[in-house]
Amino acid sequence: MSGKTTFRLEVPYKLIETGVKSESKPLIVYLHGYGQNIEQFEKICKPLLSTKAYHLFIQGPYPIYDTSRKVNVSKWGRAWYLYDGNRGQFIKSLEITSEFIQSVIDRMLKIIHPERISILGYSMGGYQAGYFALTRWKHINELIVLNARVKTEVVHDNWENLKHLNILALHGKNDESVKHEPQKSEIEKLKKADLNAKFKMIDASHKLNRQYFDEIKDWQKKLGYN
Amino acid sequence: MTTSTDEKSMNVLVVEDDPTVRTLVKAILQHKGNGVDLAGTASEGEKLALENEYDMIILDLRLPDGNGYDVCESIREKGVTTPVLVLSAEHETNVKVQVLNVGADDYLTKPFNSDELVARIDAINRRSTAGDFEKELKCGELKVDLINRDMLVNDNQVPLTNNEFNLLVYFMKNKNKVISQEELAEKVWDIHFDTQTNYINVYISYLRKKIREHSEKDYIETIRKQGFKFKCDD
Repeated sequence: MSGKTTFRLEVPYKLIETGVKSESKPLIVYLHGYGQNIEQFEKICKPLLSTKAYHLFIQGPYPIYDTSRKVNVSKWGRAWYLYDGNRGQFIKSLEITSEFIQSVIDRMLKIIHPERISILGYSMGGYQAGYFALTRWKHINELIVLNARVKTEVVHDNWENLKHLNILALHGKNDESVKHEPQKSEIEKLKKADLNAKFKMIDASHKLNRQYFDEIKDWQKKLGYN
Repeated sequence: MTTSTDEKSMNVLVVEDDPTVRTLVKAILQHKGNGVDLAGTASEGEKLALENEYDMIILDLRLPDGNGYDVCESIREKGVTTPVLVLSAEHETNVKVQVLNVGADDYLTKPFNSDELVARIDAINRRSTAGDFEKELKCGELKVDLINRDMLVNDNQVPLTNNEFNLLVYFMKNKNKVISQEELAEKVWDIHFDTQTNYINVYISYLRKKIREHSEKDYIETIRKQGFKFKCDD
């Protein structure tokens, strides 16, 4: 007899509230890049924490084995999905991880009442954030993708569904890990569909720097974030 | 609106042809104090969804005379915004994505247990209300666009600074209520101590001046020794 079963993993998350306690404000969900974890990503995103919001850092569910054996498991890097070039497996794990992200958000919504929900993803987390926002469009207001590509193919031309979504894509001009051209053309496609999408090149490599955060904060401010 | 025992009950439409699943879902919902209408076909389900106001629709994908996608797509096109939870035996990713694309709020794959169903319904309810943020505030001749951070007075756009805008929004969200200087300092400026300055009065005078450029009415009333009141008749 053979078959498949599920395996339960514990995945940490962290919710930080900034601004006046319990006042109505947005929820911003942060998805780190490949090999990072929530601790590292929170440090990287520190400039964004001055925005009055609920900041939710979720860790990627797939642990990356540390071959050096010097690092405690809780400090290992994490990934969001399985990718070996097999598209079927890739989409399946994007979807399963989206269910997981939604379950963490749902858990938060028991205790907080955000006025809008935004998702931000960097690199591998950016692919995941894009997939999440375009499939869970009903409950997302803003999407921020850094150095990744928004997988618009999941929309299947149902562009009307996304009319309420504000999308910001920032990409390093010298990003060697994820090329900017595919992302640029995806955002053009979204704009052509009359969606509120913006693409901007940053004078940087794949690594996030202050300029990314300044751009995000400016964009958020225009949308009413404080 | 939740199936939890702590809040009010819901009126739920269950569109499912399998009698075992239908009975199970009905029993779970009724046990939580919810009202349940049943439909065994796509056409019957669509008809009920259009004729009645439900708090939630639970929709099977495979129905004898059609499929759940078409029902969901059709009711959405006709303006029904009721949250929809799709039940499906399909585990394929493309099916799940398609379900969400046609406007369903979530899906649950069969077999499921009663706790899973209740948790999913509760979660959908919470999500549905989480996104209902205000986009516009209105008071007499004043209109505030919260997304673009614009103020219109008698249809004239009036540029505001960030502090003026935040002050106006706080006033409009707390209209006809006396608001103290301390409350404004805390809620608008995030200042929790006495700065010994009159910055709040200064910003209020700026705001009054800008409103008066296009209106005769004085919206901000000073209440002696108490604070301010933003007067709004509508």
